[in-house]
Amino acid sequence: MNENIVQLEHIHKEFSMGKNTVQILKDVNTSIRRGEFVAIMGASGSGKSTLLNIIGCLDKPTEGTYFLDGQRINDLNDDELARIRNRKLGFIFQSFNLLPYYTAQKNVEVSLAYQNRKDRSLIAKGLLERVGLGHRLNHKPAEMSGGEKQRIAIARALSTNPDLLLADEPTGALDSKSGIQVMGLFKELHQEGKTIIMVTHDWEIGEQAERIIMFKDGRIEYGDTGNHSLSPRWNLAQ
Amino acid sequence: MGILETIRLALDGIWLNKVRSFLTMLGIIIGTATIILVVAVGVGSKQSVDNQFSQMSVTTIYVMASNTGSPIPTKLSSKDVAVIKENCPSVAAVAPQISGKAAVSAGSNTESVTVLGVTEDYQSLTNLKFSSGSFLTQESVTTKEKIAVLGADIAETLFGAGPGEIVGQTLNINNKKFTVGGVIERKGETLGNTSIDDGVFIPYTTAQSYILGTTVTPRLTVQAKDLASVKPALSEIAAALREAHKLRPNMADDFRVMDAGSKVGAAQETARTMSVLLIAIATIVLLVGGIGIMNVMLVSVRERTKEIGTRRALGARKKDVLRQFLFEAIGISMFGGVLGVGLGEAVIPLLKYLEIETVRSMQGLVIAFAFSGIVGVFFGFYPAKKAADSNPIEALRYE
Ligand SMILES: Nc1ncnc2c1ncn2[C@@H]1O[C@H](COP(=O)(O)OP(=O)(O)OP(=O)(O)O)[C@@H](O)[C@H]1O
Ligand SMILES: [Mg+2]
Repeated sequence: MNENIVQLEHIHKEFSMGKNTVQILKDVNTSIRRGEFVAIMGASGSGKSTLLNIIGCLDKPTEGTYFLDGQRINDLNDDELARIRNRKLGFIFQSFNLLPYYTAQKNVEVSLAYQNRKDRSLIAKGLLERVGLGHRLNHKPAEMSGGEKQRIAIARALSTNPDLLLADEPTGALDSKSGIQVMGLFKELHQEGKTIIMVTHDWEIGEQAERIIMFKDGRIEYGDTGNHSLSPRWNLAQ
Repeated sequence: MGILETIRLALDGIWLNKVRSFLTMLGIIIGTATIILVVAVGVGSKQSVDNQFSQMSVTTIYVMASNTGSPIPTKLSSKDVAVIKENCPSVAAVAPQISGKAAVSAGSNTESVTVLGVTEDYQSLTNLKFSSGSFLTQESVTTKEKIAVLGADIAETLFGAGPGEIVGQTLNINNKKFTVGGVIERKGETLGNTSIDDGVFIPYTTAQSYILGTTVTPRLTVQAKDLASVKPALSEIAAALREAHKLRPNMADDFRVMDAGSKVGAAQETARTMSVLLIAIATIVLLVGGIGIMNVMLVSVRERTKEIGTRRALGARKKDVLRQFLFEAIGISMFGGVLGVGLGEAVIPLLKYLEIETVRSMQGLVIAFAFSGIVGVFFGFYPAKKAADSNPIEALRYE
């Protein structure tokens, strides 16, 4: 098993806008070790989501090499990428992205359905218990609060027992109390050994991670190496 | 994701949008119902044509006066029976027939009925069977006997009694007293515009002398020896009659010769034309229904952009998304097909009231289902492909 679950080497990302191309990521180099809890921060438009999409195998870099769990992602085809997203990654979105016409339980089962798992209702029930929603299995998202919805989404991200959780502003749409609940869950998961990469704007949230990667204009400003002797606050003081 | 799993997903999608799914189905429902009806009517009319002519031998040939409005008056007469018998080696039998309306009464019932003057040969030429009594004899023709043989329907109308009780009773035709000699079994078939069931048959000579007069032009029913002799018989008859009527080569026929085979063919052709027309209508309705499905699926794909992005992030392959939406379209179409078949089958009995011949058939069911499935695949593919090819990042960002 590879020590670095994510390794990014000279990642560039360009988008073409009509005739022009805009460079969003400019030579991003970093690695994230197995079991780390990393927060990616930076100004709006600095390219955080773009980077997370590449890490999440939803997008490919224009240039540079990306290794996930030691596997070179650049060369994989669409189906193989889908398989990796399904088996190795868990996504948590700012706007939850639950399927509105499914119950909480059915929502948690979605990823497992793509694995044809027969035990998925059992797994879904267990995970919803764990995030404190065991009593709301048959409720639809519309009947739930934002915090509850995000906990369903976390249960869904955990359903396939992935190595790496990717969260883009997971507390961005939540009140502070729900945000604290979600962060409590993240810390628990981190302690259990999950690797978590979280994009956030909120310093109070970001500081709860082990490491902060600070982003500016498509480059990592600091935090590209996981130096665990240094706290995020120390990094910040630099 | 496995196929069965994806089918379940698609069924979920249909069920969770019941109202929209149903409205989308309407076009397909109407289309398949039309197909069911079309096939039922098509098979029905073909069968009624077949029935109509089944007892008519294909070796039968009719000789009639030429169309009214032809330049010379026809010389066709009962004398031509002998002319044909003598000069046409391909002919087995000939019988003359004259017909006209007459007032027929029995007891207090009076009806205006088609009276046909025929000879004893008419029975074998038209395959008549009898419920009671028997047909006219050669003797009754030579003696101008006042005897009548009745079709099944007219017998019932006039006497309101069973065939057994009618034979031997008397009736009046144009105030002349006739005895009923027999009642013909119901044929349910028409011959030209006269139904045998509604006809009153009397000896040819009697009809000429007492009822219709001698000026009515007869129609001759000719039987060719066999199928192969029909063609030669046609030209032999024409030649013999032209000679007997003393027509010069530059003159047109003053008679028409028609064989039953070509009549059957014409009727079948009509029935087939009707089927083709109805099938064209059904196809158009289904096409419109299919376009409806495509429209709704495109809207649905757009509405569910975020769902598609989410599913892709969670591990759905392009083909999983494609199948999900394709199966949804096929599902809508096939459900529509089932409901349409039900509707069609329910309407078939109603057509009976409009006196349209229909026959239920497996053929119709199979065609209807096959069509609804094909429509689903054909019109569902483009929206499904669009869903599968949408960029997951853009789909996730979509609000
Ligand atoms: N598909 C695209 N085509 C063109 N430009 C894009 C595309 N995706 C992102 N961008 C641009 O790239 C830049 C970075 O976007 P990104 O979403 O990564 O920013 P971000 O750091 O996540 O910002 P925020 O904090 O507001 O979410 C933005 O200016 C955005 O407009
Ligand atoms: Mg972002």
